[in-house]
Amino acid sequence: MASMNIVNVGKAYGSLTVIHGVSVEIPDGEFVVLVGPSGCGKSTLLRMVAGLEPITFGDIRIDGKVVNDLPPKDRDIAMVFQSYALYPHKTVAENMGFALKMRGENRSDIDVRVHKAAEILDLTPYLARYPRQLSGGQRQRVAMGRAIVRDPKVFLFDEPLSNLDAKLRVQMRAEIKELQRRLATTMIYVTHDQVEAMTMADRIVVLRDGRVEQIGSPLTLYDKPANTFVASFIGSPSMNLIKGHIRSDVEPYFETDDGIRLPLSRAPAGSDGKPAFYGIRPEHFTLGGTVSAHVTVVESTGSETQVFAKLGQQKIIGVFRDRVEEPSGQAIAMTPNASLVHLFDGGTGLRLD
Amino acid sequence: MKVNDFERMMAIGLSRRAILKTGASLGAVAAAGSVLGPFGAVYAQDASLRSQILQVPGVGKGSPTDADWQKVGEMCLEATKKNVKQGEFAGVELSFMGLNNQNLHNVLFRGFLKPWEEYTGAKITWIDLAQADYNPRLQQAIATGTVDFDILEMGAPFEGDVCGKGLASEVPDWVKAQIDMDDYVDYLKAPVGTWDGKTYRISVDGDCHNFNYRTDYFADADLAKAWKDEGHEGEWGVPKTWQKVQEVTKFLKGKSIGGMEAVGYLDAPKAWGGFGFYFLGSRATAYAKHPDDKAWLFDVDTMKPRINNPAWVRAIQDVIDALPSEAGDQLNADPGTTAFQQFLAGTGSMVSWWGDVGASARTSDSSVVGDTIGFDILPGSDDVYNSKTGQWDKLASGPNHAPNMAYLGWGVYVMARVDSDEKRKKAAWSAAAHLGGKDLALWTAAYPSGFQCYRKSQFDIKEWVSAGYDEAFISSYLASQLNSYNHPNAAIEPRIPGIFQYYSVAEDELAKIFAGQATAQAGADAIAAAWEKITDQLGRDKQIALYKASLGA
Amino acid sequence: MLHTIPQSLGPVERMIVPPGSARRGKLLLVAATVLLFGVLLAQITDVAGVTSFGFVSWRPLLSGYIIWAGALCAAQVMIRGEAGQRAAFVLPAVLFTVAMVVFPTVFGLYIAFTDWNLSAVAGRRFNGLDNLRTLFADRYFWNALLNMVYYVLSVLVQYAIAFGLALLLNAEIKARKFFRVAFLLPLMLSPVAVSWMIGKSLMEYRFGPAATLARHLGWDNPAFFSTPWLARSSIIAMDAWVSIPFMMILLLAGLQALPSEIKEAAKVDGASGWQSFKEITFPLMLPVSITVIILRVIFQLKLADIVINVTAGGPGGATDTVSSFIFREYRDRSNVGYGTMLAEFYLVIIIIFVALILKGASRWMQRDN
Repeated sequence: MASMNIVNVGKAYGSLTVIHGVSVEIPDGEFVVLVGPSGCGKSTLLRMVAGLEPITFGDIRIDGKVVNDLPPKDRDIAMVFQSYALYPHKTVAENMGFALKMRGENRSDIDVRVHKAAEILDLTPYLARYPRQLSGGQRQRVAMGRAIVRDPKVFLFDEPLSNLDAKLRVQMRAEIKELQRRLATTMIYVTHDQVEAMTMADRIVVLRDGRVEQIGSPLTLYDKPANTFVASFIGSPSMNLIKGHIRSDVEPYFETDDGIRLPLSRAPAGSDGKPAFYGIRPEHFTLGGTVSAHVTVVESTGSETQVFAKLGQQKIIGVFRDRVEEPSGQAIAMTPNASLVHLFDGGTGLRLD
Repeated sequence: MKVNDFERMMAIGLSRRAILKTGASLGAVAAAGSVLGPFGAVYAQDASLRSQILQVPGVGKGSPTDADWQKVGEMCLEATKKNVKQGEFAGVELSFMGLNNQNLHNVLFRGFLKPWEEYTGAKITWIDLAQADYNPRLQQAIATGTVDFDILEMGAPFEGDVCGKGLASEVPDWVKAQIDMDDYVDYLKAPVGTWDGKTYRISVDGDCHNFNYRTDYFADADLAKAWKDEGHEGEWGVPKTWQKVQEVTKFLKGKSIGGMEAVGYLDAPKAWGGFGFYFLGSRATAYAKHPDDKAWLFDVDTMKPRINNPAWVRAIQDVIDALPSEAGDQLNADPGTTAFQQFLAGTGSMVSWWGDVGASARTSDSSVVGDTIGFDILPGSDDVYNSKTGQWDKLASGPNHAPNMAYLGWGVYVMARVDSDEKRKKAAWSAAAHLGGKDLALWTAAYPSGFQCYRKSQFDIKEWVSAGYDEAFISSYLASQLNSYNHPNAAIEPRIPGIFQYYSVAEDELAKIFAGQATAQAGADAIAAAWEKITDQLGRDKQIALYKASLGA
Repeated sequence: MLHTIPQSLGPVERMIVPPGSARRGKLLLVAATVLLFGVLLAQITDVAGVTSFGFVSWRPLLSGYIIWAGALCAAQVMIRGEAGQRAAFVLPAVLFTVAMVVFPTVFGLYIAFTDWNLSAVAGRRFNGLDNLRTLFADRYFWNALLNMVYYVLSVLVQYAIAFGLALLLNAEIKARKFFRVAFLLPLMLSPVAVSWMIGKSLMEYRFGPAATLARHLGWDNPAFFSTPWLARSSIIAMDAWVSIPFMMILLLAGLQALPSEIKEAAKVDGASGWQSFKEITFPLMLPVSITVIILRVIFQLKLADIVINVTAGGPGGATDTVSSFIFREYRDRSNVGYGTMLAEFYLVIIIIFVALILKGASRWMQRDN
């Protein structure tokens, strides 16, 4: 149980800086997800927290204490690796008890705690088995068991679900979230999958190229993305970002580069004629209305229909509860919900609010 | 290269090495030749020829090269020309098997025979073998009956294997005359020169162990004083008996000479592929070779080994006693070490070896004893064991000397497979005779060749001195050899099949004795038992017969 | 799922072989076999002196074997069609192995039971178990075999050093690439060269640098080969110098193949460097280690060149190896029958020994994960 402060932490390999001063404050018991595309530095940041990578500058504090130069074993953290990193020559029980053994605890204590953890994770029948005799999901749970058995101050997860198939991933997602709720331990979780981030996190840190793009709760990120990157990264399918200009001399509206008018409920003051991105999530279109686009592809999952279309020359996606059966090339009327529109600066991509 | 071309080049002052470097200089010679006109290269016979060949390339003018060997070969071709017409052997192809040790032996033969090939029209193909491969290759050829060579360079000890099986051709009389076989030193004549009464070998080498010592040690005043002070008998000087060698060796332990640690005799306890046994032999012959008895290694009638008799055991015990007084790592010294890494490099004052030590003393770059080396025949013994009576005899004539004719020398042999074809036979023998020629022998003894003296005519000190040798040095060196060869009580090595098998097992047992794992007597008994086994395996009756043949008994 | 494969291949396999082809194939095989045995018989009788065809060598029999091998392959295809073609892919390798390995071994076994000294008048004679009896009473052999125990045990020390070096070279050290190449150099030297360079030059008693250094360090008599244990240790050290790089490079490859996350997991789990090695690295390296050790043991059992060159087995047989003893028996004593018995007997010992190690090690050899 601990709070964690990451203060202006950076990492450079020679002249190449990969993390440019990241600061995140994590209160005790919070589940924070680091998310971003591959190469954004999220795993490196996590490894710096774990003590597996040295820090070039900045501070990492656990419970207020700077741990920059402490080796991993003295940081009281536990980590779940993407490959699980189970010890292949040790049984499940030995794997889970390894950290305690290293700490020099006596055998019976270790046993008790391993069994307790195994129970939590439904691993009791497998304690005597070797990792190679387990399924992927079971190995995943052993990896978590190895972490929780230690009762550490902070849990670190490095893309723990990416080796699982889709169905198992959904299930494990829920289990981890549930576990976090039970243990109420601070957790830092790295993923490239925004769905995992959205569903599990108390707060999400969006990283790109070694910089924090936005920190906030999942819904904040969804509702008020700070820039076009966050806007398109969070949510699936991605938010439509349509290029054009804000017109607000009389009635505010948005004019795309093709001269198509899109509705706006309001415009920031003094933004008339400003180049901007018109951000609208695919699910925030309604069929009908004044805006007309040309269908290119229609995909239906049964419960909803995705319409890929062209608005002038720009591609857009709409998601509808209704069935749409327009053939390709047909014009379709789909109108954005003006109250759910996000406007971003055409140059910097920052939110205009 | 034609010798007359070579002569002309010499005449116009081109150095030999420059010629070897560039073939272009041949053109220069051809041009020079037209100006100078034909050089009168008619060699005066006998004495002047002998002094001329000794000038190729000249003592102290670097090692001879292939051009020199060819030149010497051509200069010595007169004897061949008397018996063979030019081009007589055209179309004959002969194969020659021999060694290429240290780039000697076959490498020289090739050069010597090149002019012979040109003159006779025969062609020789060569099988060169390293010393280590030689014995297995030869034994294999003998055992599997696949003799694929016509002429063979071979050590005399192997005659039991080759001549004993009828694989060799007998020396024709015309060859004996051509090479003047009477000129051989006495011990290389019958019976050592023959096998079962017949002559098969053309000698190109004579072998014996002589005694090499450091003159500075035995002229050292401090040592002489210490010798007296310690109450040793007699004057300080070169030991003449093994008893003295032992005494001197123990005396020198802990002494120093010229600031260096003084060391006495150098034993070679480490195995050397069978050849190490000769060095125990050199210590033992004075004890074991009785003047009244030709045999000294086995009983003649039964092949019962004498290796465990009191004489040999005494020699073994001498080594055991002397080793602690020798150099610190003597136990790991083989004969190569004692000669080249110890004695020539300045460690130790006495060593028994073949003539190589003396030949290298002044020519090898790593030798530091060139001016302080002296030579003698092997030491004698105050008493000698009589294996007939089982008594130690003191001879009226004084100490018993019995120089060890170790290895007996290399010879050139012609294989019996040429006998069926007269032309081939004559060609092969002519080639062998060329290599065994009298004049050529003088040159091979004077220059690095792997061969030492084997003819009386080679001991003319004047010839050596006029060739550039120091008189005192060469006199002492040649005397140690001649006196060994001509010694009436020389210990002649038995030329029985598998003789090196006997030596090899003996080496193994001796190594254990010298390492302290067995007493001299117990170890010698073990050797004797192993020898009996070999004799049985090889066929005792046959061995006895061949042993007798080799002794001429 | 394997059973589905033959089904898919079924139609091909049932490719119809024309009856005439099968007959011709059988005929060819019979003819070639008759030829082979005919030549064999002719050569044997020729050697025995019963007939006189005037064979110079056994080469005709070799030709017979090659023809027979070709006919066998062809006949397979002609008789069995597609299946025969498949067999024809393997047959050359099998026939080659038979000719080059199986036949010599079996023939060697025959020679091992003969009294055959190349210098003996009688030539080769069958002598039953005599060679074996001699062998059991041969103190040189058993002494050499005992030495082999020491030499083989030294492999463990070499392994420990090699493992240490591999760990070092696997770590983030400066000039790692340079050291990797530098450490490999001894491996590229032939043991004969090493025995001259080191055994006969560096460790030379009078002028050798190693001896000089030892004198400076206060060892008055640095004779590296004069007492049994010292000589043995010197030989082992020289051998180690050549072979440690070999072990090291294999171990290094093994170390680099270890997943780094497992070691990181151990770090996070609180293992110290030593604990991480003991609990994680070493156990994970066991399969590689066992392989390395077994390979080295097999090489070590054949140790000869350095010993022959440097000590000739001395002092008093303290450094003798079975191979160098066999070498002497062959080369210096032309004792082919007994030498072959030694070699074959030693081969059996090696096979049993290695099989036992493999069996004992099998539980460590399982590939995990």
